[in-house]
Amino acid sequence: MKVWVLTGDKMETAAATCYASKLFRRSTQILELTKKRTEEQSLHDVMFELSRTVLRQRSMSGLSVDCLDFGLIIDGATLTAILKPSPEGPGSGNYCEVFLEVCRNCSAVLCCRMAPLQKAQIVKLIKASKEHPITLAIGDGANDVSMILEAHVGIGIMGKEGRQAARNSDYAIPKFKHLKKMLLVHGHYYYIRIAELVQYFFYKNVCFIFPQFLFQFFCGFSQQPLYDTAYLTLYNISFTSLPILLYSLVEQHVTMDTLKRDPSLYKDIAKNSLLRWPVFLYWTCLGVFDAVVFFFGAYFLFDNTTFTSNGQLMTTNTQMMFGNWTFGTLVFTVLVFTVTIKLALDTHHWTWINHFVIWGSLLFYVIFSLLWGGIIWPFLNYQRMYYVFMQMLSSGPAWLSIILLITVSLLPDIIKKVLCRAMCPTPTERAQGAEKLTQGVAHSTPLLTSHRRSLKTRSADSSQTHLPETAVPGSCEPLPQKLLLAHWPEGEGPDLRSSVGPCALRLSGAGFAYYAPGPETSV
Amino acid sequence: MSKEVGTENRPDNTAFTQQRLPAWQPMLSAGIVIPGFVLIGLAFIGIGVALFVTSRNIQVLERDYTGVEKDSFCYGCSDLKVKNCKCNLNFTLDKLFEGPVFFYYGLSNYFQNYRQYGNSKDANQLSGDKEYFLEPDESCAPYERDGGVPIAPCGALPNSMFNDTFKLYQMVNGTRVEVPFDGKGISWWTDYNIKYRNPPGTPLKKAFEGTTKPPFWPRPAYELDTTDPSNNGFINQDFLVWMRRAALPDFRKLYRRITEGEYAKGLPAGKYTLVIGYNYPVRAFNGKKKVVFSNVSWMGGKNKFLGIAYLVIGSMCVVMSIVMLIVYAKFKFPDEE
Repeated sequence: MKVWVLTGDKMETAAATCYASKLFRRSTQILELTKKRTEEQSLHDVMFELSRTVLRQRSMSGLSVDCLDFGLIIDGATLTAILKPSPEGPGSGNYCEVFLEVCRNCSAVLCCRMAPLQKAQIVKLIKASKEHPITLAIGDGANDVSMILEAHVGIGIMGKEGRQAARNSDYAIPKFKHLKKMLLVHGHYYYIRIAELVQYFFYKNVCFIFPQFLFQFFCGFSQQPLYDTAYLTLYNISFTSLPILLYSLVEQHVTMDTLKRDPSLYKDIAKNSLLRWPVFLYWTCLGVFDAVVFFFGAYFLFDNTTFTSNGQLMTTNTQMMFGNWTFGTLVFTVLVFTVTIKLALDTHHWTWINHFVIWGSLLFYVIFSLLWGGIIWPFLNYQRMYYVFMQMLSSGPAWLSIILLITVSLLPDIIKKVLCRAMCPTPTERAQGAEKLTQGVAHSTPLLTSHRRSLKTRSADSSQTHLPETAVPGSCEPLPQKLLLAHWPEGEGPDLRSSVGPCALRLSGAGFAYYAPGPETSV
Repeated sequence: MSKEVGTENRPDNTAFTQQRLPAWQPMLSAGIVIPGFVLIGLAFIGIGVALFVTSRNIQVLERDYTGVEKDSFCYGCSDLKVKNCKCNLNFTLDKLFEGPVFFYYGLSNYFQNYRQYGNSKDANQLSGDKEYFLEPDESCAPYERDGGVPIAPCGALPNSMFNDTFKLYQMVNGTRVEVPFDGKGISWWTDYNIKYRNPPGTPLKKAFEGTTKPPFWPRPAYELDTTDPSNNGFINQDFLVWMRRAALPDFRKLYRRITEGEYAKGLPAGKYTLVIGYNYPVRAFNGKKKVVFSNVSWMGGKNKFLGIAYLVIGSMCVVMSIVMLIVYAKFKFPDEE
């Protein structure tokens, strides 16, 4: 995440503000691309000198321990000059590429003396650059409106300068400080939830329809449905809709405090990583595998065997035959239980609502099936489902096969989760593990999502702990292998700048986690 | 801006809206998963062994009697030129076939689950609603009317009812002793008592007035079992067994049980002859017919798949738990070397 400041103020004012808010630190080397410099040298020379400076630093990064970070100051007039198409003809292009290259290597950019339209221009330039980053613009005045409209996400602050910015924005917040929670917590939750929602929907429908497709090979391609019409209709409406709906409202894979404390967790979901092709293919293949297990599991159990029930409900010792609706109902029962339990396994944050909808959906399915098959409904002109569900449940082998098929369907996913968490845990998983340990430590306090208070009471006994190095791609400094972690006093969170550093995350002083050595460790 | 104006737009500060609901945050940690897998694996292996052993102890005798080959005992009947053709199936049992013995007929390449075929019946007729006797449902076409007279029961599904007959004899001291068959309660109790009802009226023949039998049937519905009025008409057990559509193209249906008299303990060792009344044509579509004798256990008929599947999954779980233990040990302890 890179932070740019686009302001209409003078350069000196803006620079002072940046130093005050720690956007530029004392060690930051400031590169200037201002009118003053371009008056001394030609724009061409200035641009290339800057790019040489940053590129030299980048190539030297392997040798030095402490890399310099750069900050760029550019003003409106110079920006116009850069963006103007070159007078030498279209062949030589303009300085956009060089400018963007310089910006990529800077940890922060300050654009001062910007007219409102130029703010929008810069956002457009960044959006069209090589990596196509997602841009977020936040402002509080009418002069920020064009930038807010241009960026992917526009945030307006309902401020002293009126409501223009808020009216034109995607999200409006009352104070600037609310950006932090919005970005790090709510945005993160929203993405996790919606990614799971989308993937789960495809998965559960693949699981639903593929057995029907497979059945066609065994019914002469006559479009005979595997499941009864009521099940076909209600699957997506009643049996599997509420759990995922409530998941996407209340799920918190890591707590709010962890997200605020450790902003680098956003990197796990950067660049739309949860909705990319590999992840989607995994979910689809899992769906196909599950569907094949359901169908062929039931097929081999029904094939050429008596597959009987003991009929203990009504008579004793008769061996009655199962028909095609029983076959379909068996597959459907396994299906509903598997997809619901899959969601249960994916849920990290179990509130009473989650329990209610997940177990409630399963219970509703059973009760509905019992009612649907238990009564001769007068409005139906067929009675094919009459007593089918009960007949299926009165058979021992049917129960055994349901249990077996559910287990087999869920096994690969569980194994994958556990092995991946053990062998290559993502920073999010590590954070979850760390949270789990701190929860285990705080026995006295009730289990709340915010456990900062418990940490504070333990600060006196907090031992020096180790945190394994988090993977940081492209860092220009090697991070220390083991860190001494200190307790951050309550109320004083790390400021935004140091949290969202350039390409390296400085763990010292930016965040903390607990990891107590011992036999118990998260897999 | 005064505080009162600011607070009126403030969102609710409840636990639900501010996402502060108390929650349980489980995690699949090694301490839970590995013992869990071991437990599940062992339980499955146990069940698998029980199922496998039980299945192995079930005896099954299967004989195909389509009569395709020239030297087959039913070859003479298979072209159906002779009406009420009878063929004999001889078999010998080496040891006691433990009872109660169940006798099934099986069909192959027979798609009872074909949609139009399976929907071709009138459920209202079959529940005894006389209105529908004279106005059968359109889904029954082309077996709706026969020469203008409505058919009861209408439809392709009832029309194609299986009509081979079987009689089992044991050869005892050179004479044939008939093995008694029990045909009571071979269909679902709910089918027999609730779903299918005969039309009101006695005698049954009168209730079926104005209708005719399905074209392929030798006798009308009210003569399906003239010896037992509770097995006649639409509640005939064989009819109900046939009406319960099979799920797959290769299926078996229960015909009779052998539970009475001296055969209550099973079929003793010896020679047997099954006299088959071959009426049902299957050769036209490469179908096959067979008879199956089987005894049953608490888990139903012979089903190797369930036992083997449980054993395989159980052992896989145990193997996976060992793998996870190795992975866990390897990745945890290197730090502390």
